[in-house]
Amino acid sequence: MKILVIEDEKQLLKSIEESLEKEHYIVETASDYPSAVEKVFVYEYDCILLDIMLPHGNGLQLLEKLKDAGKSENVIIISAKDSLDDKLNGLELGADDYLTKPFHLAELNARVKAVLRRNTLDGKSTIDYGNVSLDPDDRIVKINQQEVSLNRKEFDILKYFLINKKRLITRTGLAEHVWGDHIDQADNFDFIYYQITNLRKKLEEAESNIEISAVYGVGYKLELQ
Amino acid sequence: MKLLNRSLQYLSVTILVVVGIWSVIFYFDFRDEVYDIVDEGLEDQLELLNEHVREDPSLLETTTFENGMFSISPITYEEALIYQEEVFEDALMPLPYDNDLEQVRMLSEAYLVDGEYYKYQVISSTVEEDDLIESLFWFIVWLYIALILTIILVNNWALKNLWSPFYKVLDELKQFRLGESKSLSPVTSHTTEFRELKQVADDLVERTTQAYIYQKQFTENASHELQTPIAIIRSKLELLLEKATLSDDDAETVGEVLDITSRLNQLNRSLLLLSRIDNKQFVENDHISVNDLVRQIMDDLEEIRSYKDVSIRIKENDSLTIFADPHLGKILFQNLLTNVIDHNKPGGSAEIKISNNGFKICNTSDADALDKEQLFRRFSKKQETTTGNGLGLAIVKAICDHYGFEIDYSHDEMHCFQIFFN
Repeated sequence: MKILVIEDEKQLLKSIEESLEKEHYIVETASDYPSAVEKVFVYEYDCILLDIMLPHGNGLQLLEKLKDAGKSENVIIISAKDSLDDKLNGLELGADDYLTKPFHLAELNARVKAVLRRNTLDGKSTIDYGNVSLDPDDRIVKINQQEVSLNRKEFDILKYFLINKKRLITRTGLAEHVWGDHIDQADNFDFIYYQITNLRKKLEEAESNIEISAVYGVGYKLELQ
Repeated sequence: MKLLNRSLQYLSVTILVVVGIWSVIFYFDFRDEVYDIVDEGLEDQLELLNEHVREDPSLLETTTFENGMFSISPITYEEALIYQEEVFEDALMPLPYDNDLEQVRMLSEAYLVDGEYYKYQVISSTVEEDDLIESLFWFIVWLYIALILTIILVNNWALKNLWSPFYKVLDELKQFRLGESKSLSPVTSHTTEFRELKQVADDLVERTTQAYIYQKQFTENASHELQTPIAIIRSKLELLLEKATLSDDDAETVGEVLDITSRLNQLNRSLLLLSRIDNKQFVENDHISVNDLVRQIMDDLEEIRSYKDVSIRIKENDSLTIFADPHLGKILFQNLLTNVIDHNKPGGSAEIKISNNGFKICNTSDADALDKEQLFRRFSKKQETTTGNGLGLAIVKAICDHYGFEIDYSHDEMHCFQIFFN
């Protein structure tokens, strides 16, 4: 899988690159408009991360060009502006998703995977890890071929972990992903712990060979036992 | 006090003093003038009497004023010395054909006739001071009233016409709302001061509006500019934590910084949201069913609610629809609903009432009644127990203000927030 990251902030570009490489993607970067245009039209990418504010040009202009060339469907806009106009324009121009800075790397990872999954029709739609298989479309989880009943949020949590397997998922990142923007107060960390404990219990009862382990009190990680 | 009444007050007092002083001076001057005329007449009369006496010495027998306006009486030499010169005096005496005492002017002078001294006296009726003062007084009163009436009329006219630009500018300034009104509408005037006033008001409005816009844009730009550095910090820290090279203590510290970064982000987003509401950037209004929205948010918050052991009862009396931006509408109710869960007590409860024109949400809490004045202010965080940034209710208030909804807080066993949508 080949991914192009277009971002003018070098430090952020480096972090995104590093994070994506952990997922074994081939990552290329561009940090201004002309070099982005060049790369986009010379090479083929499975996913393009596009910042809107770019030196010597605007990400939305580039998106327009991509749309004309029929290449806009695998673009994720990453922007500091969560202004609705930009969001709507971007999505209208065929961008697949819109991610507002600052994002959690796990969230970016999830969004990239979603784009890749949608655009590569390899017939397999489940996410598998160990003896766990999760079907995001039908919202079914099977452990050892046995269907396990999870409530809606438990399903979302597990899915987020499966997408980000072996990666750190922070409590705030998890809360934001599953419960939205407004529930990432420290106040609610106990609540996240409680949810994870419940999910762990269900995984254990179904004799799964994956486990959610705590990472330094800031987050969790999904690994094989 | 109105300008009209104030100027009338000053003018009436001033005019009263001026007219008063003037009338006193006038009175004395007028009286002297009258006496001068009368005295000259008396001198002529005396001259005439002298001539008559020379022609007809029998007139020397007229010792009283009975038959005319003169009298002649013999006097001694010593007395004659007093009347050597003309002596004018005022006197009261009965006039012939009239028994009343009348004020008269009397001229006395000594004459030598055939070696004998005689005092010649002539009189003339003159103005009575009482009468003079009285009629003068009434003249003054009427003059005063006439002046005041004239001033009222002129003032009224002047205020209506001359001052009309002033009142227009005043009205415009009264109507002016920062951030809502663009600029003052033009006012034409030929008066220099009013033209200056208008100019100054225009400048002031423009500068204030500019400052307001800059300030609003500054908050928004600053928040936007902060997003990228926060994104860098967050991604770097997350990557750092993923490295297995950190000691547990170090990792914990990094984790704490990461949590604080999240708070920073939350704060920044809230500020951005507030400034965007203030900047009126939410214009995609739509009809929103409050009932559906509340149920949906309740659903999202279900796990937290049950974890916090708070029971929530919804009473839907009517179906309520509001016209607002769906994003803002969601934030409005989400903030209120999260609040009743976060600020509740363990095992507490909350009540939501949706009726035709209002939404009421109440929760139990260990906290006392909150300060109504402080409640909706930005950063008015009261309790140290919550890590909220103190902007939740400020955002609620900003959204309500934006749409002209009325929000009220009351405390009666439960803490209640009520919104009237009108």
